[in-house]
Order: sequence, then structure tokens, then C-alpha cells
Amino acid sequence: MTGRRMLERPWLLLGTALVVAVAFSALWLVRSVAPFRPDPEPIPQGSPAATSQGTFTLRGMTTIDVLPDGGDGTPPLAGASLVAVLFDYAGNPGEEVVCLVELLGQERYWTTDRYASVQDWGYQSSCEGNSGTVLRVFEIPADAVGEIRGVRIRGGGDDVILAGEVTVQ
Amino acid sequence: MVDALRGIGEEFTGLLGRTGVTWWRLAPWLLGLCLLGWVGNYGAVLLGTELTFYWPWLVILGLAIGTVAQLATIVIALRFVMEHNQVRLGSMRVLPGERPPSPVQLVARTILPFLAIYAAFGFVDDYARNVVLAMTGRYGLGSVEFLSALNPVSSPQTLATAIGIIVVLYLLRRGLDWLAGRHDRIWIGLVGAVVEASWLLVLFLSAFRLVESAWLWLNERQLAAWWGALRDALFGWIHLTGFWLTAWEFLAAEAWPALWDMLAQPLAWLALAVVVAGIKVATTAELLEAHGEGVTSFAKVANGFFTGDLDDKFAPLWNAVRFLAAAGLPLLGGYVLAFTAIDLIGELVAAGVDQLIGPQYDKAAVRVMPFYDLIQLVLVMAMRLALLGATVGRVSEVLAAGRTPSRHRISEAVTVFVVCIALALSSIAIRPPTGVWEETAAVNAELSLMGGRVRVGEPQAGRMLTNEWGARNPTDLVFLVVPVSLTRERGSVHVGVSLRAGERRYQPWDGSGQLTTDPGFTTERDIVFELDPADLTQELTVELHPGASMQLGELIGLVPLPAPTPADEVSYRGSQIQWVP
Repeated sequence: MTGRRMLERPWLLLGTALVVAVAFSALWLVRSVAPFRPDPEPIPQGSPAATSQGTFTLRGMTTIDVLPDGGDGTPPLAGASLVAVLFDYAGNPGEEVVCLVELLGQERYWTTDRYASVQDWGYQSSCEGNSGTVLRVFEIPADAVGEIRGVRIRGGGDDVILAGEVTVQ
Repeated sequence: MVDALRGIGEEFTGLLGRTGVTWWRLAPWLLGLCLLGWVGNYGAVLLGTELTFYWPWLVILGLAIGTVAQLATIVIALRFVMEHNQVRLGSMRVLPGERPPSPVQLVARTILPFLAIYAAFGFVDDYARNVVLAMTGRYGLGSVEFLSALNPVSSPQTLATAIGIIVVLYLLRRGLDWLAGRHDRIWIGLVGAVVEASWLLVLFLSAFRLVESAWLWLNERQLAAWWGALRDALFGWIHLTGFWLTAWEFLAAEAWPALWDMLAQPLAWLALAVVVAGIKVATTAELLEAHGEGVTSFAKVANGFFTGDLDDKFAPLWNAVRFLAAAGLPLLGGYVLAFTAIDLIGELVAAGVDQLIGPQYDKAAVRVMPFYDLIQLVLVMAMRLALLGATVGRVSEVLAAGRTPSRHRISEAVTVFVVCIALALSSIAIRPPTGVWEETAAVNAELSLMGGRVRVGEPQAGRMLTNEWGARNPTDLVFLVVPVSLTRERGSVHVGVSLRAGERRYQPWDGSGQLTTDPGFTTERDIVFELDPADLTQELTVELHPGASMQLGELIGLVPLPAPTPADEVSYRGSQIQWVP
């Protein structure tokens, strides 16, 4: 049917517009929140995950009783747990590695890590230079420990998810 | 003046009546076409986000397609309404040997004024805001990179890309014009309109950024200091205080923008409608003939450079304005009144729908985004188109009747201006605040704001502020310490805190009024305000402004405070505390 003939039938025009609007609304509801990049496939603990920067390997995640802080130990808040995350990184030859780390729960995540004197133990607190091992400590509600499914590492343009479970000590 | 007022009133009621009848008779057409225009508008937002995944500049193409789709529905609806109002389309043309323009030609002809209206009255800003919101939902933090990729001053490569796109689109446009001259195909006209819209949008976007950068650069030069000194010498003696300062601020920030919007927007739409009606009396060269051969030749060359834009778009617009001026000020005044009345009715209805939908955040904000605008883009637009058609019909009637120009044009102009000022002032008072919601709670009661739970504790006041480490800060005024806590289980909400004391609004004394917390925790901070002691006896209310990375609508939490008696000393925690609730 041509546009002119459609214009000659007002209720048909309105009906068609309503159908188009409903179809578009359905498309909008589904498509407008579809992530541009779906979450990458999680890489199991111990396996290296390749990104454009190099590789990241989760060594493990565990709860700890106190936060190492210059020889003193700071316990977690009442009702909270400290989760230590240890991972290795190795950048492409001659390139600096950048990383932001998120501790992933079920539909929520934690970004704020607690300051800890990890260098005393030979680890780094963030990615520096081309390669190394990072130890980060997150404080989360104790009842959220069971929902932790790994860490997401951002930086250098693409993300990677390192899957793992928290070992409760 | 009484005659002018009566004339405005008669035209106003007459136009509203005609608009009502037109709308009632053509409602299925108007609503159907405006609904398709709404799909075009938000289809462009969706298309823009999809195309941006491949290359950020493609968002311009999405916007251009959406703009042309929406304009096409407006042009068709306007033609339809005008036919109904017995406007003889194309009857105002006097150029011999030319056929009346087709709807596609009209879309191409009106794309520039339409985009100008869109840019001038904030529609392009709305579109950009919607795209960024939709992209944040799909890209996350990547939307910041998107904005940077379109900024021509962010890097020499981006500037070169912008210039390259402008040149390519210009050449493409010329090529399509050449093709249109040889083949009468609809697709050539439509592609030409999309290319032109893209070209104009890239030009607007880049020019805006370049002018902004040039302005910032100039402000850092010695020239800016000289200009400041000159301004101080000329106007430095003016020191407004009290009533005069309030009056000036009201005039500059509220009244003048309202008056400008009220006058300029209706007249711009009406000029566009007249162009759609088919007005075209002369080319620019013919218009400038009286000014000599040199000026005429220049007009021809300029018209060629702008690919015929001067004749196709500016000359009809200029003639549309002349055409409207001949209709008489009472008619134009009555039309401005009717346009404002329809806008106000639409805003009242839209505010009601907004209240029903409520403020949204995170993915829900993206999902409901198009439905906020449904009333404005369908119902109000349909009524606006009916009014435009009725007004052009009335203007052509007046001109056909050969009404002699009034001998009291100055008095009429003053009357219309006074009426518009009165209308602008009253519209500021009547206009409902759109997109703002308020939630009120008592002290120590929990307030739910965008997924976060906020509690405001008992305030304390004193003239000496002491923190937990013993640091003391005296004041000649008075400190008010208000504990505020935020709890959230998930999501990304943060809360800004400020204080309202009577007519005054205070920001936190140390400048840090933003509260956030990790999922599953409660964070509490003492927010400190430094007040005029007289304000302690005023009505004190803490304002809580929650924000999220994706948010639609503004939600404000209000907590009225009891007025505390100031002590000599008041203690506060300088650092925040956190616990698991």
C-alpha cells in the first residue's frame, strides 16, 4: 500500500503507527540495555587469561583474619570479612601494564580495597612495570563471601574475568 | 491599546477554536504521524548507539536519519493540516514555470531551519543527553571515550577527522544536488536531506567545541584582562544590592530566557510552517537586485558555494518572516498566546505522567527514557501542528482579504510586547517543575533514595568546632553538625548533602558533601555547615540529592531539622565511619 493511500485511511494510519510504536518499544526495552561487550568468558583459577596488554593469572582468593599493616594487624569490621586476592601479570615485551581490580559478587562488586603493607611479603599493591604479582585486600560483608565468583581486571582497553572461589580460613 | 488587546484576544480565541476543530477532525492522522515521529526520534538514539560501536562519528548519521524521519512526519502532517484549513499549498509562489515542491523536496528545504530550531531550543542537547545515557547503559565507562572521540580539540587527529568529514559530506552533498538535477528520484532527495543533516550536525558540534576552546584560550590572554579593566571602568560603579540585585538576577536568569523562548520559538515554528506551505517569492539575487549588479553577482556566487542553500532555504525563510509580518501584530500576538497555552497544557499533562513514572536509575532509567517524552512528542506536537496549520490558514485569509495595515502599529507592538512579558512572567509561576520529585522524612527516620537508604540524625550547633583529634575551629557565625548515613546493598548511588535555611541554601563547610558507600555497608559522616546565626531560627531542611551513573529525573530527599540551641562548642567526626548493618 502506498503512503498516499495510507493517508487516505486515517484509522489505518493510526493503527499502523501504533503497531510500529509497540514493536519499537519492545525492541527498545530489549536492545537499549544490551551490553556492548557481554562479560568475557571467565578464565578458571590458575589458567592465564590473555588480554591486549598481556596475561593475568589468578593464584587464589582467601579470607584473612587481620589486615597486615606495618607489623600491626587490623581486624575487619564487625560483620565483615577480609578477602585477599593474589594474581600474577605479565605484559607484552617492553610495555607497562595497567590494572583496575573489581571483586565480583552476584550482581554487585567491590572496588575499594584496604591499604595493606603487602610489600613486606614481596607483593605489589597494584600493577607496576611489565610483570609482577599483586596482592589486594577487599573488605566485604561476611555474608557476601559465599557469593564471590572472581575478579574483573580492567585496563588497556579490554576486560578479563578471572574466576575463582574464596577459600575460607 | 484596548483595540489591540481586543484584537489579540479575538485572534487567540479564534485560533484556539480552529485548532480544537482541526485536531478533533484530524486526530487519527496527527497522532499516527506524530507517533511515527516519536519512533524516528528514539529510533535515532538506538541507531546512534548501535553505529557508535563501529565508529563514534557514526552517531551523527543516526541522529541525521532520526531528524529527517521526524521532520518528514512533521512536513506531511503540516501539509495535511493546511489542506484541511484551505491553505492553497504552493499558492504563494510567484516564480513562473516551477512545479510545487514535493514532500521530499520540502523535507530537504526545511532541514536547515528545522535543525536550527532543534539546536536553538535545546532539542539537540536532549538528544545528546539521551544518547550518552543510552550509551552508558551499554558501554559503561566507555561512554566517556565516546565523547572524547567526537571532540575536535581533544587531539590533532580528531580535528583532522572532523574537517575531513565536513569536506567529504559537502562534496557528497554537491554530487547529490547534481544528480537531483538530472534524475527526479525520491531516494536522491532523502539521501540528500540525511547528508545535509549530518553535515550541519558535524559543523554545529565542531564549531561549538572550537569556539569554546578559542574562548577559553582568549580568557587566558592579556586581552581578557584589558577587557575586564574596560568593563570595570564602564560598569564597575554599578553596585546592585538587596531588591535591585534580586530583581536583576530574576530578569537575567528567569524572565529574559522565558520571554525569548516564548517569542522566538513560536515564531520560528510558524516561519517553518509557512515554508512548508510553499512560500518562495524570489531568489537572493533577485531580492538584492535593487542594490546593484555587484551585490547581485556576489549573491549568485555565494548561492553557488552554499549549493543553492541561500535560494532554497534562507530566501523562503526571509520571505516567510515578511509574509507573517504582513498579517498584523494582533494575529501574531494571539498565535504566540495560543502556542504558549498549548505548551503549558502539554507540560501540565507531561508533569502528571512524569509523576506516575517517577525517577529512575541504572538500567530502568534507559528503559523508560522514550516514554517520558511520549506526551511531548505525540500529544503536544499534534496540537502544535494543528495550531500551525490553523494559523497559516488564518494568515492567508487575512492577506487574501487585503486587510489594510493598522495605523497604530507602534501602539500594537507595545501592547503585544507587554502581553508577552506578562505571559512570560506568569508562565514562570504556572509552569510545573518537570522531572523533579521530592521525598520527605523525619530526623532519624530512614529515607529510600534510588536503592540507597539514608538517615539524617539529630543536629547540633556551636560556635567552636572540635574534631576527634582535638583540632578546634572557631567562627563568628555558628556551626551546625548533621550526621548523615547511607546504606546500600547494590547499585552505584551516591548522595550529595546541602542545607536550606529559609530562603538561603548552604553547602558543607569543608566542601565535601558527597556521601557514598560500598555494597552491603553503611557509611556515616558528620556534615558541617557554617550558618548566619539568624538562620538557625529559620525553617531548616537538609536536602539530599542522590545520583547514579545512569539516572533519569531528579529525586530530592528532604529532612526538616529541629532548630538546635547553639552551644559554646560542638564536636564532630572529621572522618567517616563504616559498619555492616
